[in-house]
This record gives sequence, C-alpha cells and structure tokens, in this order.
Amino acid sequence: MTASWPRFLVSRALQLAALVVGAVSLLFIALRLSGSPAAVLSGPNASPEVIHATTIRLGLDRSWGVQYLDFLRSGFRLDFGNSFASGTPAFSDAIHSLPSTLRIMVPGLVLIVVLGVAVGLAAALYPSRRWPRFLEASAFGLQALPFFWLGIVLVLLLAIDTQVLPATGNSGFSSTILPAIVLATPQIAAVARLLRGELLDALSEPYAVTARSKGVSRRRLLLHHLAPNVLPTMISFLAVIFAFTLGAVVVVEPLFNYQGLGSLLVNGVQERDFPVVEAGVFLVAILVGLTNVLADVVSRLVAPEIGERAA
Amino acid sequence: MTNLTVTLDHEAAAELDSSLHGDPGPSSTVLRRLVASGRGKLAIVLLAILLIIVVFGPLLAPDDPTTQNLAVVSLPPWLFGGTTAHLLGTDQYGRDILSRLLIGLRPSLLIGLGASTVGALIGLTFGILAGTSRRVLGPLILRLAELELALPFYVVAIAVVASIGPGLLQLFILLTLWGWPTYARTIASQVSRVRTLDFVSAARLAGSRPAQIMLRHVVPNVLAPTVVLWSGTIGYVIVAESALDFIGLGLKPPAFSLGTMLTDAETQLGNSWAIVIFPGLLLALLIIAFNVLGDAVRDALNPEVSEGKRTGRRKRHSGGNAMKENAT
Repeated sequence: MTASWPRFLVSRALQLAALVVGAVSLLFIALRLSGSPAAVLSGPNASPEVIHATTIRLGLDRSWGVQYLDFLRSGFRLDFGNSFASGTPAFSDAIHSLPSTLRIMVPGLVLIVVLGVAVGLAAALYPSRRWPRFLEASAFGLQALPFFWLGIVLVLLLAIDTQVLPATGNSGFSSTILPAIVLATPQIAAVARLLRGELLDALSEPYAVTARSKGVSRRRLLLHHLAPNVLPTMISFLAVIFAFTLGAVVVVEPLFNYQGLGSLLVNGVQERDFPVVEAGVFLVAILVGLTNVLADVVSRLVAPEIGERAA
Repeated sequence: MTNLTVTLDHEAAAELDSSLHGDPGPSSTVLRRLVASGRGKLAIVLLAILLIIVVFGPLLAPDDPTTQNLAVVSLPPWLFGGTTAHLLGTDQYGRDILSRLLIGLRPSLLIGLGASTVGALIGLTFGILAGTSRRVLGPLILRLAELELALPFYVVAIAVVASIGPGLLQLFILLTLWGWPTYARTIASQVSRVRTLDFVSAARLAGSRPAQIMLRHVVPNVLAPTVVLWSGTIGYVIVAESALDFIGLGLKPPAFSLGTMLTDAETQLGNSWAIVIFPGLLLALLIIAFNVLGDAVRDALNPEVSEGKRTGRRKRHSGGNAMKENAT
C-alpha cells in the first residue's frame, strides 16, 4: 500500500527534524566533552575573568536540562553566536562558504554519476568482455588508495611538474577541477558496483524472465525494462554519496587550500572557533537531511510503488 | 575508501544479509580455508611483513627518525641521485625517510587495528542489546545508529576535536565510536532472525534461561558477520585515521604517522617527490593488505559463496569477488 502524499511528506519532515535535533544534541555533548564549555566558547587564550563572564552570559551555570532546551532553541533560530575570528554571525559565515564548496561538489557528483553509471552499465551489458571488467577493476583499485594522497600526487603531476592546472586556491574554474576529481574518484566504483548488482539481480526477477522468454534481447531488457526499476535504489544511494562527499570536503578543501565549508570547519577547529564549527556542522546536517528528503520525493515521483519500498 | 558509510552500510550489510546463511563450520575449518585460499595467503604474508616492521621498526630503521640534519635536506632516493646512507632520501629537515616510514607505520596500523577491534566489540554488544530488547533500548540504539550513519564522519570528528583538541587518545576514541552503528544494525537484524529459529525455541522450551540462550545459542551465530564486518572495516579505519592526521585533527607533533608525513610533504611538493610517494604507497599497501584480508575472511566464512554454487541473487557477489581479485 502506498501511503498518501501528505502523510509521506509529514513523515519525511519529521525525519528531517529528528536529524537536526540529533545534530544539535551531538554538538551540545561535544561542547561539554572538554569539561569546560565556557573556556571553549570564550575563544583561545581567554583569561579566567572572561571565561567567568561567558559562563554568566550564556547561562552555563544553569542546569543541563535548561541549557539543552536553550541550545535547541538557538539551533532552530540559526543563532550560533559570532565567530571569534571574523566577528560576524557564525551561521552566515558558514552559508557564505557554501557556494564555493558546491562548485567542487556538483562537478564531482556529476563525474561520479556519469562514470559510475557508464562503468556499471557496461559491466552489466557485457559481462563476458574484458574491457568493462578492466574498467571496474581500475575503479576498484582507485577506491583502495587513500583519496587525499591521490590529491597530492595529482597536484605533484599536473600542477607542479607540468603546470597544467593550478595547485591551490580559488582561482576560477580551473582550480575546481582537481578537487572535484579527488572527491569523485573513490565513489565511482561504489556506484558502478551497486548498479551492476541491482541490474543483475533484477535480471532474475520473474517479469524479466518472462520478457526474456518472449524474445526481448538482453540489451533491450536491461536498458528499457530494468534500468527504470533500479532508479529509486540508485537515487537513495546518491543521497548517501552526497553525504559522504560533503564529509570528504573537509579533507579535500584544505588539501588544495580551497576556501569553502570544509576549510572553514578545519580552520575553525584549529583556531578553536567553536561557534563557526557549530554553525558548519549544523549546516551539514541540514543539507544531508534535505538531500535525503529530496531523494525520497524523487524516488516516489519516478516510481511510486517501488519508491515506497526502497525508502 | 570511502564510504565507510557507503561501503559498510550498503554493500557489506546487503552482502551479509544475502550471503551469511548457513553454518560456516568450526573456527579451525574456517582458518584452514582462509590459509588455503590464494587471497588469504597473500593477505597473511603482507600483514606478517607489516607486523614485523611495526614490532622491529626501531631496530630496522637505519637512522633516528626525528633527528634533523640540515646538511642532507631533501635528498632524492638512492638511484635517483641520492646516497646509500639514505636509501629513500630525506625530507625537508634532513630526516631519513625510510626510518620515518618504518616508525610512522606504527600508529597507522595499531590505531587502525585497535579502533576497529574495540569498535567491533562495542557494536556487537549494542547490536545484541538492540536485537534483544524490543521496547525502549533497542529502538533507541538503532535510532542513534541511524543518526550517526547520516552525519558524515569527518564532520562529526570536527565537532569533537573542536572541543577536546587533537591527540592520540581522542583519535582512538573517535575512530572507535565511528564503527559501532554499522555493527549494531547488522547484528541486531541477525539476532532477531536467529531468535526465531527452531533451536532457540527448543532451548527455551527445554528451560534455558534467557542469558544462557543468548550466550550459548545466539552470540555464536552472530560472530561470523561480526568478523566479516571487522576484517572489512580495518582498511577504511586506516584511511580515516590517516586523513584526520593529514588535516591536523589527529596526532600532535612530535608524534608522527604516515598521515602527518603527508602533511609535511604537501608543503614541499616542488622540492621532492620522495616524501609524497613513499608514505602514500606504504599506506596504500597497508590498506590493500587489510582489504584483501577482509575479502578472504568473508569467503572463508561463506564456503558456498566461494565454491561458486550461486545462481540468481548471489550472482552479483561472485562478480564482485572476481572484480576485487582483479583489482588487488
């Protein structure tokens, strides 16, 4: 039974809210792991007087329950305080760093989808040929390499030795190419493998067997009958890949000295700029949650019955 | 790499679900199968060499890995214009790269192995709890696991390190906490499946106490998936460890690892390729060794899978294994 649209949307909205509350709770706990949230929130090298003032100002001397509710409320108001480094509201710093992160993530995701689907389809269509196997094996080999090392080696080869591309910085399109490649490489094999597996699984479903026995060619069967059926699975997987890539940005951006959300977070940690870290982590949680909802909605639109099952 | 979330959650869990039925046999048989397989041999030899390096690293190292010598800064490796005194060259402070590799391997391997193992034990415990308690605790554990799987690991790491700072212990705790949700989810579903099986009902009817049933009948049956997940995870934990080291959220100087060596290397790209290539290659070798081990362990625990009896649904796994064989 397919649930009605309003019910579906409400349940997804609740899931999103749960994720956001969870992320805020995680931050609340993380802040207290150090034992002295006031010291962390006073910024680096604060004097005892400043720390005491912070304790009073933020109400850190109240009970944990009250503090937690207060923390949740500020999360929903997107108010994480001002960055120690820039003095501007931390959440607006995080939002402003997002476009340049998307400039490497979107091409990266496009690469993942195009190459992953191509390799996966080839492997499913031509199971006995050598070249699709070779392609998939190479994608696998690349997956085993530490992705940040791949980035350094690419910089060494393309930016230092031959100077084809800029090594670091945010200087237009050319500076997004290497980060996008490094973000994409480890994920291609995962997409290819999942697609091939799903297609081969679908091949043994009764309706596929029936179609085969009626004389539909294997190629036509895979491309016209089975591919649409595995779409919902691939879409939910893409949401997972998005979340992972958003995490990898934290490693890849500093590697290329590329200023975006990832670099903002890492600098925030190094400078102990906790409001920025809070805002950034919160933004990531919202993005991941929204992507999951979007993936569910799209799955449902392309294949209402299957989408419900996959979600 | 990647995708711990991706790989573990989607691939490994799906594979476990569809392939880990049936009895893997006594552990001595499993071990014999592991040693007998080509990949098992390869993994054991590779890991034995790496373990010898970890144990005897300080004895094997030709030089002190932390002594700076400004007379021999950024030497290329021997055969590339360097000297036999520094076979793999030196870094920007004149430290011997080979010696640093031999010592720097230690934290990478030990933290990777240690954190995956402790994480597996925590995950196993939580998984059994979640599979057993249906009312409050179980759903709570599974919700928590879902939350942690939804948030990217490096971002969670950022939040924690921002508060408590970088360091060896912090790194270990983070990597330990990272692994458990995947185990908990897989084990919980296995536990609830095993609990409905006839031999468990029989034990219950025969008057065994719940704790007894758990320890004697259920736990042994979820050990195989735990071991499969564990051996498949180590490589990913090592990548994550080195990545955190690399961006400065892991070990603090003067401690160093293959990951922090790459941080140093990145500032010196124009001067020397040796400091970039060698730590990365050793890291890749370590990861590949554990990935091969993971595959071999999975096959040893699923004899029917590796004997090619599969048709239909299981076909994909044989394909996947063949691919991995090619890849490694």
